[in-house]
Amino acid sequence: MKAWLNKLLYKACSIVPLASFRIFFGLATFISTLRFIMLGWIDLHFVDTHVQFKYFGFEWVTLLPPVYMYVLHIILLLSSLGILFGAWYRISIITFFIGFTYCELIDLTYYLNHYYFVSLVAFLLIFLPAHRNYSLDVKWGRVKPLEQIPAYPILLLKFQLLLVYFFAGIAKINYDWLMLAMPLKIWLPANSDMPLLGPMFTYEFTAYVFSWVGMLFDITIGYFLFKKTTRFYAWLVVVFFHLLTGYLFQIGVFPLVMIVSTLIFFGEKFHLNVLSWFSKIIQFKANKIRFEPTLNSTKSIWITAAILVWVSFHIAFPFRYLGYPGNFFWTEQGYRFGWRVMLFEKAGTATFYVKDDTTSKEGVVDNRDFLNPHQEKQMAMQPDMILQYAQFLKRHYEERGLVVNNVRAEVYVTLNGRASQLLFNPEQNLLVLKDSWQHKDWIKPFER
Amino acid sequence: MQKVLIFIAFSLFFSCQKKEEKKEDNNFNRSKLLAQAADNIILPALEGAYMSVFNLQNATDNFINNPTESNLLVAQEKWKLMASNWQNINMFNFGPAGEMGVNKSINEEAGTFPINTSKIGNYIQAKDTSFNNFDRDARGIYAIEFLLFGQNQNLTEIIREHTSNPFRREYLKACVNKLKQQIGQVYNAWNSSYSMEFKSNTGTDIGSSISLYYNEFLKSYEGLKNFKFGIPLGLRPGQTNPLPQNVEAYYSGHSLELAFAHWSQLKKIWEGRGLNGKDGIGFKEYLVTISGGNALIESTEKQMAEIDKAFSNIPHKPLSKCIQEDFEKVNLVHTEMQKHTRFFKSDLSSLIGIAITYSSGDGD
Repeated sequence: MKAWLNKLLYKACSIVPLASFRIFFGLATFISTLRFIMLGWIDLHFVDTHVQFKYFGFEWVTLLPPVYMYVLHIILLLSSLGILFGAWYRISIITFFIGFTYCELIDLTYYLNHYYFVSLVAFLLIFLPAHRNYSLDVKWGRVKPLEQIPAYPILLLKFQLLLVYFFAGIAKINYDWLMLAMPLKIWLPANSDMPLLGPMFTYEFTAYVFSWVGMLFDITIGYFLFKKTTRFYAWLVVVFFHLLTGYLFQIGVFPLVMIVSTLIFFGEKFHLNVLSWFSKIIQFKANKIRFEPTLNSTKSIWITAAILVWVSFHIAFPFRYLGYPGNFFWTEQGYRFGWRVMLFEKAGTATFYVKDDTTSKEGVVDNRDFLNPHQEKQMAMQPDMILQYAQFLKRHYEERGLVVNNVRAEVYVTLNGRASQLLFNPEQNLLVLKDSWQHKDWIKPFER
Repeated sequence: MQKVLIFIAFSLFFSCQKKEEKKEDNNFNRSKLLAQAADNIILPALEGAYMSVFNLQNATDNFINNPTESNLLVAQEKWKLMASNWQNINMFNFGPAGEMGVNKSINEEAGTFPINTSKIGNYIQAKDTSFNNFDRDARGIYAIEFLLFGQNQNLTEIIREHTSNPFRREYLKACVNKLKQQIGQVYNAWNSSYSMEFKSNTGTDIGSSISLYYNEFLKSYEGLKNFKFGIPLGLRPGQTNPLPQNVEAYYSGHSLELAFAHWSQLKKIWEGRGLNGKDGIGFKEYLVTISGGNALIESTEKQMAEIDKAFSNIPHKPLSKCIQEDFEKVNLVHTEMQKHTRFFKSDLSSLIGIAITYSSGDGD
């Protein structure tokens, strides 16, 4: 076992795919950050905001003043370039990881699986020698070049990618997705104006075909990407799949991130082509550099242990939903951080009532006074956000001289086109509830 | 493995094909919905509003040149007609009526209430009709209303105020002119090129016509509930008493009629019914083609009937009076509208698959 593990993790292999991955990753984060800035989302997410929904355990993360948020995004751009070109790599990747993760932690509203993916990969890259070749750091002599590295850096990145597909796939094995072709039965006809494929989307069987093929794609693609003979075709399918879903759904840079990240599955030969092109840009002459043949003494019980902990955690953590009773699409307990992407069509209408103890009068809240449309949409169907919003309302109205000990809400949620139903008892005082890892027994059971 | 995959895909394809008959093309329906909206709902409504503001201008000009009681009465009548027509267009705050067209949306630019009478007084005192300020509560339809109807004043008193300070009439003239210019700008844009642009953008993404049309429809519905009923009823947290003077059209006392006109136009949009009463494709008909749509139509229309019933139970008095004298009856409209919100808000947008925000998502 130990020998097998050592061979798997520490077998010498080419650094080329890792260096190439670094370039693609830096490029993707650069484009993503630039897009974020150009769309005016710094203002939308971080400046014109009254409420930030916090991640459990990260309540202490707060917003910086607008100027700093702008500066931070410039820093993210620069550090992305640092990653891309391998310039001051270590400081660049650490800066990027901290800055990016900080931005993600500010407001739960904007949680995206692929941002979580970017954060995890950035974290891994801090420890991986991705800059030890085909980089300005090597060109400038800041670090010694490596020709070969142990297998684990590339393995870890592949592992991280496989998780995304695998969990996305098993999440699709549910009654609504496979038997009712929901939500695709709603989403596809909504895109019937798409050229070529559009007219097909009106047929119900298209939704069934897409549902089943989508599920099978997610579950099997990892295998085909790993297998050398099918790799190229599998990657073409990946490109097609992500371009199509990118066209159909509002999923931002997810297709870009996945398309370039999956290139890591290709071998040295493919990546050498990429790198020769890249070398021209940074005038990096590979033959003039004396390669150190291999990384010395990398075998370490600590590295092995860290890898095992990391891998076990990431396999186990998405499964935590199994520990909660009820339909987890409905309760969303254990839903986030589990690679569950575009799985259901869900929307809620949440009406909050705040009672002022000084007058015993209960008032109705207009959510538009405090939340932007995206925040309202996300809050109105997610129990933990509803609790946070209730606490916000208490704080807000107490600052205005009210005495608030009771905030309740009537929340109707529609899941996959069903008539909307109450998420919990509207008489429930939300202020007495605390968010935790515990099962939220105040959520009403889901009725089909 | 690949063979299995292809096999499953094919067997599914054929097994479904047998029982499947083609549903109506959603894309076709979307363009029909948009055509009905543009040609039979929005354009006639804009034309009506423009004509009525034109008539209002004639009447106020007459009154300004010759401030007699009969001229004032005519101007007041024309204002009521204008305000009724306004209810047919105040929910189309996109395109030329959105932030790109008239500065803020036309509803904010011209339809702000309650107005601030002391600000109006200040601008008149300062002889300032530039409107170079952000005081949208000192101009627009309801400022014109205040200047024509006065506050608890009889006709003689209103006229005296206008004759004792000629600039009051200038300010009235400028307000009417501005309103006419704003509505004219939107009407002309729709009449020239925007109509085609609106009808041809048949997607469901953010910025698509149906998403703009739906989102503003919903906003207008919530605006009716919150601003024309909720706040005057004193239903916000921290409001200790009703604020009857915050109703729409407080000075003319035309508030109940206007609120009902607003609601009626929203119902017509749901049905796809044109201004001339001709029914076409609306959200309702569009839902028929979607699985789960019929159930939603049923619950929506059932609750809409409750709102109608609540409206019809309010005595025919100004809303401000009703709030003081028949609070529960007015409150019932708000309650029924509150119950109805989910049908228009989450259920409808979810089934139609309309984008409501720009931000990316993947969790839902």
